[in-house]
Amino acid sequence: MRISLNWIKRLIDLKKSPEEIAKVLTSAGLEVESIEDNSSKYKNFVIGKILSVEKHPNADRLSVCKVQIKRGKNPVPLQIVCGAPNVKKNQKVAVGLVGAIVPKNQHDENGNPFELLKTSIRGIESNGMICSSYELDLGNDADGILILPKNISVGSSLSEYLGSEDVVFELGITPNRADCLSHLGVARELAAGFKKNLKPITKNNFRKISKQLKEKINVEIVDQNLSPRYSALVIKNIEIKDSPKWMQNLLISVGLRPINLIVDVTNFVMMEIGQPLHAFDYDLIAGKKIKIQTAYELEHFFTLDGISRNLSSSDLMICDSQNSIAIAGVMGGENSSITNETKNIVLESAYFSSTSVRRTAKKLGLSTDASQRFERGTDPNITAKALELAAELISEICADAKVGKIVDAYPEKIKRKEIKLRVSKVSKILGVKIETDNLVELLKSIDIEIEQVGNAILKCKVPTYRPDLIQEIDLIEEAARLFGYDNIPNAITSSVTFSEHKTNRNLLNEIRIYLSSNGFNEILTNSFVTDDKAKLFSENPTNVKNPISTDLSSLRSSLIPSMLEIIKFNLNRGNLNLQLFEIGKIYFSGSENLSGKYFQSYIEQNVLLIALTGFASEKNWFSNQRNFDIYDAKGIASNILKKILFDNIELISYDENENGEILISMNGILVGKIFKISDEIVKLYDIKEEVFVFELQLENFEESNQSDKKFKEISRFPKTSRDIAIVVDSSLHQKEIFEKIKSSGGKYLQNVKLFDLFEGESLGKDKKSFAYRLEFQSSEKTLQDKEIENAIAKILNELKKNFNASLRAQ
Amino acid sequence: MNQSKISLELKIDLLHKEISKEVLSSNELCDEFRLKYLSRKGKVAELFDELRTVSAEEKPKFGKTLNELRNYANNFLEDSLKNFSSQKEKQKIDLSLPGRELHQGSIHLITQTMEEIQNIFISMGFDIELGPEIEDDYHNFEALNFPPDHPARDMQDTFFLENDILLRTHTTSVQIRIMETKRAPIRAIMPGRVFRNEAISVRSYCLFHQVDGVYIDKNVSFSELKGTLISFAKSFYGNNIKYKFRPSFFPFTEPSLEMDITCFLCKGSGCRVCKNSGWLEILGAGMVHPNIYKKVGYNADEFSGFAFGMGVERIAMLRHGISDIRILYENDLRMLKQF
Repeated sequence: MRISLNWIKRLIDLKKSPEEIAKVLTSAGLEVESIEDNSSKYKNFVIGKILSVEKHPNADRLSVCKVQIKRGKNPVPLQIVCGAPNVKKNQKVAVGLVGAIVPKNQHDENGNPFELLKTSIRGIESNGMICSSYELDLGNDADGILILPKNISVGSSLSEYLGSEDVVFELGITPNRADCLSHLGVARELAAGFKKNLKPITKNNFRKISKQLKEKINVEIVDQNLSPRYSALVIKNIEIKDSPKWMQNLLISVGLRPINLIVDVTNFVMMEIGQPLHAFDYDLIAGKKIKIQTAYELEHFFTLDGISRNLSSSDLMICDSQNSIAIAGVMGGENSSITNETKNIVLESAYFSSTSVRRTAKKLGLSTDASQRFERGTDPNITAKALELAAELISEICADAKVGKIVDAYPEKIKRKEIKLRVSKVSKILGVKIETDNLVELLKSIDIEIEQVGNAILKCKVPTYRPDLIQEIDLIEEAARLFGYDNIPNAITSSVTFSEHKTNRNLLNEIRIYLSSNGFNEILTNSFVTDDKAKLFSENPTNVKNPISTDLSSLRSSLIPSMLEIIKFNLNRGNLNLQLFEIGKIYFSGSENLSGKYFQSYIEQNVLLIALTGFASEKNWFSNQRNFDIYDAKGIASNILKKILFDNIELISYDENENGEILISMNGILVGKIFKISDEIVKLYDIKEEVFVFELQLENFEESNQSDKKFKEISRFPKTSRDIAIVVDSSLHQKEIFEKIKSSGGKYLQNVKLFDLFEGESLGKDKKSFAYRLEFQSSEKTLQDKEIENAIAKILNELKKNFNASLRAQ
Repeated sequence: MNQSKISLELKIDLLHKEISKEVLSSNELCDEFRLKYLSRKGKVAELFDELRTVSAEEKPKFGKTLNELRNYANNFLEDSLKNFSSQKEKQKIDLSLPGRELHQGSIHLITQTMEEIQNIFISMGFDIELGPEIEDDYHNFEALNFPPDHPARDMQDTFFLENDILLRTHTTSVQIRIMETKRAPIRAIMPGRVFRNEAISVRSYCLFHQVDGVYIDKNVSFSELKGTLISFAKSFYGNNIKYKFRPSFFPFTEPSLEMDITCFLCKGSGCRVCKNSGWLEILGAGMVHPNIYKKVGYNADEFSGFAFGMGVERIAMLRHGISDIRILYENDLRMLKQF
């Protein structure tokens, strides 16, 4: 909301700096987002008269002008070199003097301002600049200088002519402060803040001017709930012309475009006191009757912007004796709007139900200055005053206008709401004691009427322009605001509570720290993916009804699509070796057998995804380069599982499926997968490199509880290692041999490690060799060679029996 | 005889001294040494020849001394060779070669910032509570005092999955879930991902992260709220910051406030980031609205409390001079490695 200081001064006498005003507004809860100070914008710009124009001796397109900038007898004219084609003798022009800051530079790409200096252009001295409207930031015309009317006086300041000396505050008005969507509302806050009184809104001469016309319009409210009050006023014999310069300037300063007297006056009244007005062409109203009732089901109606709107029986309409003529509180109709031929008007000033206006505006997707105010709540008791103000303004400008009497349909007057305020509650909530007298004084400053019931309770009657004041807490907020947040002490009492339940935050952090310490980079990606990418990983992805774009219409059911996007992004930017991970949520819905924690039909789960692509080790002075492969992914998977499961790592088992994927199960439940992303999928992302991933469902894991762990004795007896190399059929999988060694190795076998893998002709056809290092240790004694040899013999025997394995010849 | 005996003894002694004074610092010198003392015609062999001249009973004694001398010479050469080659070896190691580095890993800036915020509140005695991202209208809006058709809903553009099911627009929804299952005292923060239906641009993304907090007990006041927020701000932004509180509006708190701190880029003198105001808004907060107690069945006269919330992206961007929010979600490795 733009608030003009000049405008505020119509309502309150204020001699404060913009900064002081901003401070009061901000501490009142009307956040000043910016201050636009135009008061010095045209400093050093004056009105000049061109006395002579001569050709520049050294440049075809330039002229040398003598410009009079002072009044009086024989003032010394300024010599200015000018490049505009339209410069002529006797023109009145805007002259920037040396030292002036020209708001816009037409030779600068961004139009940045620049300071005028005394210069010499092609050998001729130039002492200023004759400006175009672009350069003055008044319009887009940069082709020639701005030519001003003949009747303005030479030497006067440009800002005086433009009426542009103003300060505009951009305020962030919160939805509860509907009353501050007008200068009156803001002036009220300033009056409270600076302890001043407001000036009267009107000149109080309505009674005088309204005697000229007997004519009245007939108003009938059919639905009193939706339209508690409807005031109307007929004004005849008006002339559609421009509004006066002062009014235009004020409207422009708050961002409204002047159109004509009637539109401008309605806008002016709305911006000044917050009451939206609508003007109908009186001659187009059938039966000279206004009826406020809901629309017909499936009614079509052309609003004044020429668009057909579909309405239903819940939308409130303004009708004449035959047709709808406006959508109440939202927009007028094409059939009754004023035109340049309009002679007689009827002004509407109403109070509509905020909910009704909001529903209609939202349904139609039509938000207007009027609807924004009605839907937040206007003051029911200002409608007549608004008409008086409008009538005064119109008759000041159109001397022949004839003003009627206000027709005021207001079946049941809306009174001030009464709210009880407990003085003790104020100090309980705020944590500071405000004395009753002080409290009363604070609340009275914003026009709250107070009746004291003893010392404990205040009966507060709140003004009707404050629909946000409904219950006690609203008054406590007003008290806090007026008392000043800064005046409430800062306290902190320490009372520590401890969690009774665990989140998996520490688990996730453990994984993050582990991975980042081991060279992995965490990424965070969008939860939304394209529908087609979502379908790669889920049969029926969860779709958003109102996505920001069709590109991002589904919630991800896997972290892989967004991971691949990030890999592609990085590869395209030359980041070729990637070890990335993400911990994030995936979402499921639609399936019948879901049973989510919060909603039966929706599930969200935390998942870890690790992706590897490029070189595991780059070419280096100490090693050769090596690409990542599936064993890198398997390795980190196993590291992480050990990290988060500790002793329970035994619960994990690895299997493989027909697609060449490694499946990870815990207690027989699938919890993760390790695989290479298929060629078809990477192709969809334009990725040529191999990408290996490890995916882990984190919901299945709980935070490890180290506090329950007990120390396991470390053996004090020596460890003995033996290596064995065996030859088996090449179809055999390592895991089977490994398991067999472990199961047959006896109680002293502590560790089995594969350290070599060999295939070659020397072994014979379809044979391969595995070499293992076996570690034996006892916690009770030093092992004898004999015991170790027995164990190895038993292992070899089992391997021979089960896999026809032989010892490899040394 | 006697003379030759004495002279042999002396010769052995002299030769021992001579050898001990040799300095063998190159291959050539070592070769010379070998030739001079240890070859067949070397000085040690010469003395062995003289052994013939000593008497039979003295032979074993001189033989032993001579053997010792030969061993001494051999060892002397060997040690010198070892010494000398290890020095050479040392000179061969180039310690200026780069070390074998691990990949440089990183935790995402948003995660780091969120953790930092959480840790501060944990140290003040706050719990952590989590809730669903897919939420219903009741928990996200209605119970938080956003009635249907209320203009306050316009403040937050919402993604809908169904009419009543949406993506939460704030983690404040978790506050309702806590209050539904627990009685006061409640002191918790609710971190998480939230969603807003806004076009992706320099300043806005369709999702971001929030840390909300709530404290409800018998005598929690606005004054306590201010104290808590100041403690947080000082801990997070530094003890020397200046701060101010402005009245604001949120449907679920009243009175409400927004907290500004001195712009940490320009130190308050005004810059592009703080729009020349010298202040940066860092969070919103307020006293829990009585309508919320009503919704969850608390007695609003028995309990009071406050709630607050802050956007993690905004804080991280301001702090680290990131002007485009999209950079956080592009995940360029060169950005990731910076934090």
